[in-house]
Amino acid sequence: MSRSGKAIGLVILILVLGVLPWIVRDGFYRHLVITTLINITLAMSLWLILRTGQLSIGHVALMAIGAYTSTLLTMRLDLSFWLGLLAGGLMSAAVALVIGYLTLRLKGLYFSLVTFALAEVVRIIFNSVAPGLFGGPEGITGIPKPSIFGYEFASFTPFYYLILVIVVLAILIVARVDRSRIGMIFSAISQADSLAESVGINIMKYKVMAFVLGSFMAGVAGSFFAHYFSYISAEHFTFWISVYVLIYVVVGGSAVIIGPVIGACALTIASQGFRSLGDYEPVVFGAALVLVLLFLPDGLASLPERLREPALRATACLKRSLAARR
Amino acid sequence: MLLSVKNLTVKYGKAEALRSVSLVLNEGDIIAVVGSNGAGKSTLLRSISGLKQPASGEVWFDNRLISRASPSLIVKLGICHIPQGRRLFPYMTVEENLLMGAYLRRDREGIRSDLAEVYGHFPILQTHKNRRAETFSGGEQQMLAIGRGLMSKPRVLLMDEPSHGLSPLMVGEISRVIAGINKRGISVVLVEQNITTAFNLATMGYVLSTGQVVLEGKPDELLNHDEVRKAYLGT
Amino acid sequence: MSSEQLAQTLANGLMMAMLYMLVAAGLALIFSIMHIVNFAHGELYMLGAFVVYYFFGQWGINYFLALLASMLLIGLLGAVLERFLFYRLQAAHLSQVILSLGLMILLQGAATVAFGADFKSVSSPFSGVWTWGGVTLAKERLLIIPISACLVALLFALIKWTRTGRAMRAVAQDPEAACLQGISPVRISALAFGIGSSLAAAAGGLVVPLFYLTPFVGGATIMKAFVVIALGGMGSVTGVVAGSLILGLVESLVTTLVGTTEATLAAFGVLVLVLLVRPKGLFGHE
Repeated sequence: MSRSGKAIGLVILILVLGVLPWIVRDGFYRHLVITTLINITLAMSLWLILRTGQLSIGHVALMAIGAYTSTLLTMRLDLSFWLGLLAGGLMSAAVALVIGYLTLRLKGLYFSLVTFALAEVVRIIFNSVAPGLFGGPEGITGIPKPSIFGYEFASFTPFYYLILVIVVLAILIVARVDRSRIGMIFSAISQADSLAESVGINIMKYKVMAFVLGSFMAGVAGSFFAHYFSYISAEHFTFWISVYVLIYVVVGGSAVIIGPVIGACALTIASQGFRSLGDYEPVVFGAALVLVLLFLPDGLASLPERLREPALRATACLKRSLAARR
Repeated sequence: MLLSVKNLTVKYGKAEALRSVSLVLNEGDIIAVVGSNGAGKSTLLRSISGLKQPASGEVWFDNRLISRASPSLIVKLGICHIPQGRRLFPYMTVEENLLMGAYLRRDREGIRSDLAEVYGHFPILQTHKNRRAETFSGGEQQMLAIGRGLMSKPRVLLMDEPSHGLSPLMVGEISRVIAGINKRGISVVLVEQNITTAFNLATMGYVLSTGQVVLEGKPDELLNHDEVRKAYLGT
Repeated sequence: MSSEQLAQTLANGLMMAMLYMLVAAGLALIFSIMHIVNFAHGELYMLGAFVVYYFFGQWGINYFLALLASMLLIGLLGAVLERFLFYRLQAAHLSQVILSLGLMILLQGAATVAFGADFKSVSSPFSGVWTWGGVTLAKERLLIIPISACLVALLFALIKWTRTGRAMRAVAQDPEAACLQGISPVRISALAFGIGSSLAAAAGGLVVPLFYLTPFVGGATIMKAFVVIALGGMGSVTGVVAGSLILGLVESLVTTLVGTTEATLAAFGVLVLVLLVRPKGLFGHE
């Protein structure tokens, strides 16, 4: 696509997103939009961590920590939503910092297992420990809506713009980091960390950095989730969500920044857009992941390139045969 | 002509590791393939033993085309590749490593007698036959690797730098072992960086440089050749 | 706690330990050959349980035959998964782990759709209980101990003394060198995956008369298996024996003394601790 084509496309996208609340009126689809945007945020945050070659399978835990933190602070301490949102992100970041320092020095496999275990521990704690605090299996209801300058978020529109801002910020931040020197170091680490270390890069610092930043974003997404749905429980934060977010990233394409966005959009819409997936959701998602890993390793994002290839090869063939005839 | 390679070209991606390489091994002979690092010697052996598929060219063994055969079939036919760096199974014992060499064989009695024969040639292996392979010195490991190779009852042994990293004493020992193996009727393709030892054993020599055969001939002729030094040093 | 309670607790713990051992042994075997952790292992356990549920519970086939059938069917499934899915990703370990995660939810979802998410149970294939000293164990629980022990012992014997077992160890230690001895790594890894899966299926089948069955039983089991192999050492079958005994007995004690939630948390706590302090586990490699 030409540069002007891309620019026009971007402008149209911005316009559509800007006036979306007036285009989409049906409650079901509005809900779908917000869910998609939350998933994009989660996918983006996991993608950043994956950039350093670390496979975190416990990502949902960081989301849960953000959700419960914000919930408890706003409900018990009467903090404003905005502080709660920030606090949720910071809490997740803090937990990630501690865990990161302890575990990121381990070989990737052990790190993944630890994240897996910790996610379950977190879920069990929220589910069964201190029910007075965390609400036990029934969870916490009546989570207050955000309000700004006295105006309460009572409908779709303010929530939509809020999450849209969050998503845009997330993408911008991740893109900025990825394109910077830090981003180059991330990808160096993921390809050959012992090599990176031998040229003096403190790989621990960068792995932790990515992990903490990604966790902060997950925490923010979790906080938003809590105040949007007004109800959270440990059931919302199962291991499956961690796998789903991973699927968004891998199916979308883990090599490019637009990949997680594509994956989150495509799969959220596929799963809920037609109301019919229900029990088939894990089957479809699992199958999508398997198929992508086997046949389209760079995800949906690489599809246009892949489709162009046979066309390119055909033109090359044609050129060669024409040249031969001369 | 027991084993022959005809115009073999091998690529890793777009890079050519071997370009139109040809050589011949007659039954009962030892041929030496020498060259500096990166000349393609290991690649040559790997294409013969089936670990690497050639881009073009042919490998013939006993009038049979084996260019695209699986490593398993090639072992069955009687070609055994003793790779660079020995590549023993570190946590397996001496005896287990030797038995691995005989993996494709079904003749229990034959395996047992061959095992005894190998122990006869390498008594030190018998003394420590239940010790893990990783605990042995370089020279002993090389003996074990050769022993393992012999257990497959090969007609041809492909040996990749057997004297690598060994003391001069050990190198002499290994040379004696190879000569002994050859006397018993096993043909050898010997790849080495150390020209002297290789040419002392061989009846025919090939000099590889950046993937091509730059010189071939009888060892004593080659040793006196100016080109040998040029090719060997890779200028 | 009285000595009778203690004996009972230990007996229960031993039984659970044997189950964990069976599942973890399969996982360890797969890990040592393929060098990845197979997250879908728990689902193979679950599917094994469902095969026995249908063969024995619904269609009245002899319990032991049902167990055997389960082991064969799920073993075959495992071999197919390895041969056509995992092996295609060759040495890309990260992708293989992600693949196993995808398979995990795919199989769980497929089972939910095919069998339903409701709680299923079968009546015990044996009547009566076994008592000795202060210990009382229902017969189907008692039987788990010798059956598991036998299967694990057979696996051990296979690996240590047979030609195939040696080939598996060879592929685990140096796949290319194994190739040069004429071993086919694709066949060996498919076989290993198949054997590992059939052990998981056996565990699933043994458990069917004990607990309620849903498509979700795989998740908890795989967690325990991870604790075992982390404790015992990733690729070590010996380590699996030690690790599962430790986990089974400790878990049982904590459950009796405190409660199930605390026991589960303790198990995870152990996993995290081991991975942080001594990732190689008690018995290191191999």
